[in-house]
Amino acid sequence: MGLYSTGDCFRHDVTVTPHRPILKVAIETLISQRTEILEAPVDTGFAGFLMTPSELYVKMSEMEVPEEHFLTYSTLIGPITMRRAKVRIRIFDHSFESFLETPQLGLGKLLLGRRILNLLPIAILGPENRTCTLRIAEAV
Amino acid sequence: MPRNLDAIIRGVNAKAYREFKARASKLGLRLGEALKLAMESWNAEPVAPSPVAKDVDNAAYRRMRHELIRRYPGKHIAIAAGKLAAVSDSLEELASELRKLKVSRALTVEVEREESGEGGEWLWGSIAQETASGTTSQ
Repeated sequence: MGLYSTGDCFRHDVTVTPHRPILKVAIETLISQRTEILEAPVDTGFAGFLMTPSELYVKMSEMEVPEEHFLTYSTLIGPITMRRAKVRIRIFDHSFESFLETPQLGLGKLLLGRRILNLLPIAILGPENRTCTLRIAEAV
Repeated sequence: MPRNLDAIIRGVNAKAYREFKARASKLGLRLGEALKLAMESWNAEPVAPSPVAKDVDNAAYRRMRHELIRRYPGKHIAIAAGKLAAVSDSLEELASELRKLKVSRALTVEVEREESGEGGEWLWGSIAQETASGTTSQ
């Protein structure tokens, strides 16, 4: 426990109702070291990593895992299996190896799931329309 | 002058054949002429990168899996063109090795440590596409 202060923040998407928390995410492929920067909606209802539209996934999936290691997610319309590829992800000043995912069937969408969100010390400040990284200001 | 040849094509879908023939007829083309134009047009299109990892690599992984577990537990391995291309202690090292080998895409796995099976839930449950607004390349 401790007292936290906010560091860098990212503005929510206020073009949709209700406003949507988003984070700026840099994806770097590991072989060609190509980078894409995008604004991904925060989705605590998605248990996975960073889901992307299939077109972006195809571009960035230089290091895909074998199909035996694709994960299957339970949804309201039944199980959906996602392709999965290794990348480096940077959010605020946190950089780590992680995965892009996209549905095996269908086009996919852009979502930042809990397997990544759980690595980040962030706070969603709804009334202020921003999501911020947190730093310990004082240990209690 | 390119050489012409005669070809017999088996197993053509009857409905697709009839539709193709009707369309050719509407355009005043003989079947062979329409087929030649269609092939030239198809050949001229750039080949999009496949969203599907090469089946040959997945087949190779299935074939090698027990051997990989025995020889390289905890290591990062890459399979390309149906063969084991590189083995490393870390993903960064593996990627660097693949760059040296001029391999641009590979199937990769952390032997015995890679997750599989149930991933959890996705409560939205919709697979409609959402535009990645503000996407830029560097």
